[in-house]
Amino acid sequence: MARTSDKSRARRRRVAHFLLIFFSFSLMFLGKADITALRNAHMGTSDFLAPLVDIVSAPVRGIDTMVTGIRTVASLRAENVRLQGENDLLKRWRRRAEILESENRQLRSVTGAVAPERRTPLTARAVTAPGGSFAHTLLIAVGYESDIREGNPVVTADGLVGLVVNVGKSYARVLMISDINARVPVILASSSWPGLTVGQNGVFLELAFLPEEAKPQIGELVLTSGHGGVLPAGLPVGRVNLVRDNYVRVQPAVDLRSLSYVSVLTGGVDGIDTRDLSLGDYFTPLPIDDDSRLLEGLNAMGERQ
Amino acid sequence: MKTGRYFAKAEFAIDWPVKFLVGVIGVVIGFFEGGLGLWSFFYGATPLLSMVFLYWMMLHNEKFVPVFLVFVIGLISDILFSDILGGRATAYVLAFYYVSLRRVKLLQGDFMQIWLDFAVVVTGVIVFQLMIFSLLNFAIPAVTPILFQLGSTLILFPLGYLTLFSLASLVEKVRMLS
Repeated sequence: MARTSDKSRARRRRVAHFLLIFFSFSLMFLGKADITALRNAHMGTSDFLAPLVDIVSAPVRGIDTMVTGIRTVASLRAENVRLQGENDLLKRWRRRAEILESENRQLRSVTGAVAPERRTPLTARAVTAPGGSFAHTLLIAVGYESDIREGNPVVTADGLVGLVVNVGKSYARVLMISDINARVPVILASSSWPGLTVGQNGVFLELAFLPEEAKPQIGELVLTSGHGGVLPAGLPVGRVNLVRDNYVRVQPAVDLRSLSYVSVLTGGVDGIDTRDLSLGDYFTPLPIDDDSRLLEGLNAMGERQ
Repeated sequence: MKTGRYFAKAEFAIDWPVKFLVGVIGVVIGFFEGGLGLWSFFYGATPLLSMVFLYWMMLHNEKFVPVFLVFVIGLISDILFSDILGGRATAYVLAFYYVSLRRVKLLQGDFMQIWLDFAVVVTGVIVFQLMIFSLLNFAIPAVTPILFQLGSTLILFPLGYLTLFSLASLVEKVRMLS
């Protein structure tokens, strides 16, 4: 009798283990199917876990601050010289910017161009940073209570960080430009050729879908093009830092490894369906044709139309 | 017959608070692992500290580590790192079965053998996640962070193993004294 009971218990255990394995595999496919209920549950759990992670990661932040402090003290003199040089350079750029701004204003009044849509920046603290090798997302301490919506761009003073993809009550998840699923419509600043930056789950981005005629230069600035309307045009994404055959690599303008605070640009997504948000869905590369219009006023040969 | 069932119930009653505690510690270690990403050194590739903890527990205190607990810790890590839901959880469950099979042999071996087997387990977990990721996304992510994650986990393993051993002996001493 006891042996029968043991056997049935062992059989039940085997069935339970099999069901668990089956459930684990099913979960992966359900997760990939991107079901709204599952996405909401995911964000709800993140909302619940985020404050706990925040508390547990306090020592890590402390260590990071300490290491940064020691490094700063060690290089104080050199840093001072560098900052003075940078300050002089910035003063020159400021004067130049003032001249250009005035010129820009005059030109706008002549051409009747519409000013870019106003967005309100909202500062948010980064609770987590990418920890795994398979997803580059950031959890920030603002949610729909602060009027954050899916599709809002996330920036720092240096440039674009990513895009809000999930919004909870007090926390939101940001898909960073370095994530393998992030595709940002961009233009090369000096030649205006359009392309698409593709994240690689690493430090650099790949600049893809550039027209064959485009000749990106090392150090050339890459800006958002504004295609699709989700991201405003003109946000710095990075600089070209490697050109080899057809491969163009971009170094992000923002140091994504040390993000403590970011700004969320709220507003500007009205009328855009952001329920199934993926950065790539808002940009379809135009066919390369001499007559096709790649950008307003430009054809594939780079000539004004 | 009934006595057996009551004994089983009594055993369960003794074990479950410890299992719960193990679960809480595992989840907190998972949180800490997530927090490590804030440190620029570990950006995008934090060592799998929860795996070190689970491996040690599976080897030395396997009765306090039910497979469901391993699954839950993996699932929470998936949510925290925004990885494919269930990817790490499944990898952890498979690692659990592997360690269960190898447990007796490993306990008879020396530390190097345990370390080597841990290397196999962690590599298996990461390769499994990579395969699932590549299959579902039709893309291969940058390999450097993955190798860094693997390397840092293996380097930190002896430290984690020793720390857990010291803590366990400390707890044992306190238990003996009280």
